[in-house]
Amino acid sequence: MNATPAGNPSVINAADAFAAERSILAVRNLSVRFGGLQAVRSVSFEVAVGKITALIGPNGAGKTTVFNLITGAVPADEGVILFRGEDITNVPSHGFAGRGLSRTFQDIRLFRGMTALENVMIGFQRVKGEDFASPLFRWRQTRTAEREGARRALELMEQWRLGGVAHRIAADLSYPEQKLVAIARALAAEPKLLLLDEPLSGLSGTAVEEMLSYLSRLVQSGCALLLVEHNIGAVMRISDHIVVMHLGEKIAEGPPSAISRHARVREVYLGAKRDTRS
Amino acid sequence: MDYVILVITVLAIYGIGAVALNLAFGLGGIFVVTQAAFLGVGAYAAALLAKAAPAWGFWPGLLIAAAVAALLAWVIGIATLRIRGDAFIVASLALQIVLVDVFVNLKDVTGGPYGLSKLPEVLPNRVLYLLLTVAILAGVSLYAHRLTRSPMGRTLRAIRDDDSAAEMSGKDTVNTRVAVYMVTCALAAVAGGLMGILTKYIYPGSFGVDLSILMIAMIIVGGLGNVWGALLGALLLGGLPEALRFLPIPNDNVLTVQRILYGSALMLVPFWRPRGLFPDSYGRNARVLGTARERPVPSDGPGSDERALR
Amino acid sequence: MAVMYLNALVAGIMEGALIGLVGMGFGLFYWVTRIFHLAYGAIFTVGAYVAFQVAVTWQMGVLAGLVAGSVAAALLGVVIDAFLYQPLTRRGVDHHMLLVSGLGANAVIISVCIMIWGGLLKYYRSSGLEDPLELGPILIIPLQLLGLLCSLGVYGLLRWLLSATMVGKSTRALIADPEVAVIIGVSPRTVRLVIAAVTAIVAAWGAILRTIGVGVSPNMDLTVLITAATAALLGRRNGLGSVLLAGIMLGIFQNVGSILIGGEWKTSIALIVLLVVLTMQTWFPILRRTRTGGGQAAQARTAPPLPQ
Repeated sequence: MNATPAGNPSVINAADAFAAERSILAVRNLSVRFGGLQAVRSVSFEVAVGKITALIGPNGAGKTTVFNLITGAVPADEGVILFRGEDITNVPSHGFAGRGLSRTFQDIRLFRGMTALENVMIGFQRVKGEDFASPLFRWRQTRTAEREGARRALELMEQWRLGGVAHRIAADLSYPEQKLVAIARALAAEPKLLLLDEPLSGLSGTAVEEMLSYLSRLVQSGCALLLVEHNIGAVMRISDHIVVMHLGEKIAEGPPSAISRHARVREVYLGAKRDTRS
Repeated sequence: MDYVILVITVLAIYGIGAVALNLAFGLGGIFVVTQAAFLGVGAYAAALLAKAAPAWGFWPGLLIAAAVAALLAWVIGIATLRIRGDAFIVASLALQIVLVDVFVNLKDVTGGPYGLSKLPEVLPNRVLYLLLTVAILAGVSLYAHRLTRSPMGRTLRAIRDDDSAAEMSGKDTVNTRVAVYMVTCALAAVAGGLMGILTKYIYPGSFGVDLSILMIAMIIVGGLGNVWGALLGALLLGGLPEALRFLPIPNDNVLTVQRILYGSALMLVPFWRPRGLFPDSYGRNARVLGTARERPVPSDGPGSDERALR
Repeated sequence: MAVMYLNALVAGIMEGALIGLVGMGFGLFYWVTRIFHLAYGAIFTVGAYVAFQVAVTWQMGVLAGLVAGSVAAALLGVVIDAFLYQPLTRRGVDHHMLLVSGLGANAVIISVCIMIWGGLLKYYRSSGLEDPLELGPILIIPLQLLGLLCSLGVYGLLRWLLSATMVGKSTRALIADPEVAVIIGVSPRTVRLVIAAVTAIVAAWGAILRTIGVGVSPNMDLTVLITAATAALLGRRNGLGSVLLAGIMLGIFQNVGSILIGGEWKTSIALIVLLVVLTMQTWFPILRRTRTGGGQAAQARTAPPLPQ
């Protein structure tokens, strides 16, 4: 098992210890309230190592809020989040990329003023020379390291067939290209778990198929995925495990076959088959 | 001739201040309105030390001034740079006023509203002083130029463009912002120290908010995030008072006319040249990175609609 | 001794009310437009100068001055928003660039005021309202009391405007969710026109109340902006009322603090209050949270984005 989880020992019991071993992310009783609205109520689930887990639910179910809770963008009122055995509930937002947890955003959020390549390079952790002294001392080494970094970033981009747009300004790329660059940026951190916020939104037809095959390849290379997604058809095809949320609560969990037959899920998702993002 | 040397030296000092301001403001995206006050911090600190130990006090004075400035910047920064964007603007404006209040009110130390006079002659040779100032300017410019193209420069630009995304990429946005603000203020103090000894007389009025705004105008006109732009801006706007001498304006009104001119520049530049005369050139970094360069698609006033509406 | 503090407290409440008044205007503009209105101090100053010009120099009386000052401020406010801020927003200019244009506008407007009215203080009195009344040990200046009442009145007026009028409801919708507001038919242009005018008028009233008996000078804009923005910032989480209260609190601290360390440090006190409260507000959400999962000592996080 990885490092002993920090925190209240009475909560980290045997079940949690076991869970930490086979799952890369464990969420327990996560709750948050915004003003009068209970956005997330006592949600618990796990993400298995090397698998694709999907978080689905109608609009307003609290899915992106769960992402925000996991990554520290929003502080939780209650609950524990364990990542690779470590209690990350109180880790600040910038502590995740270095621990092997990356995320993308629903609205992409590339750094618009930079090239795609620079965007990807931002994803690197422990960059040599990332301080205020390097322009004074060790400048030569920094430049060499930068060249090397650029080469690695370009390689990564080429794996995702983004090599051609590397030197274009991020703001000028097409929507699917931007989505891919954002994923590449997240991957530059060499994550063990990648949180993808609606990777298929805004895509249609072949673009969806391409993205799905990218995601499969990603998982095969050892990175677990947790997706929030509205395209139920795609989710059913690609996921190993599905968690269904509704109005802030988890209402079902299991493999796609079980979920598609689940009575409550069907009830909540009236017209689920047509519920694909345009 | 002596006078020309003085003017050029002052312009060089403005240049140091502008290049420094560009780091926090242009590169870091922090709305700094305190640059004049920190010039003052440097001027007073260096002057006081020079007075206390005329033989050698000045040079360590510069370093101490930089350290004091950095400390002040740290205190303000950690309290205010945590909050999204605009809290810092209020604190910055307030700090600018407060520091001038300190210069005016601590009469025993700073000489009050009349300032410090009869400062010791540190370097009698004016030409040498100019060369020294220009050397420091060159050094600071080189540092800024390199910083822009360094990993930290990229991090700063990322934080400027989208701090949430930068956080998720592992960047400690708060502490990085505080650090760049400290660098900017420390360099401003160095410039201020040079200024004080040059004129041998410093008084609080010369470090007021008008100068801070003038320096913002310098980097806005020249181009945010660009070292050459900052230098150009310093030249154009720093030279304004001198240029105005040639026009028949009564002495009382010079300051007002100056203010109208740079105020107008601040209003008009966002319309006509949103990125200044020499904008932050993105593609150039490719040269450092050693990869092939493709001509960036020109975009006039690259928008952050979401930021404008934030 | 205690009397001195008591009077400082009272004076602080009155001064603070005016800070809160201008703060409400500044805050309202910010919440609607998301723009830190760096030209707000100039609008304040123009309101005061025009009122002075009409009431005193042209001897048309206080009421005429009030109206003239309000109209001038409203016009200026609308012009700045419609011809500077909105066009720049439409062009997608960087946010800081937009703010900088406000800074420039402020400089130009103040300079024009100096050219018209000169750089020195213009002093004027109203009929006896500055003569202190004695309430036991406490000295109350009727004018300041009027200022407090006006601030409360404006608070009520703004609340009414925002809840009872069509424009007000549109404004609230725009503040809450700009995208949805547009979809349901709210016209941002109309709202901004009204808000620009209303907040400018609020500034003008604050200016007139502040300058009667004290005098108008071209150097007021920055301190006014700072105190107003501080009040707006400190009260941001709970709306107009808390902005007014924050202003009053600031006034109290400034006045009582002046007794302790001298009146020349007023702005320093404001800055310290700002820093302390901001720091407390950052740590408060972490202290408020119940933690059932244990974990490391609370680290301050970056401010959360708006809930999805």
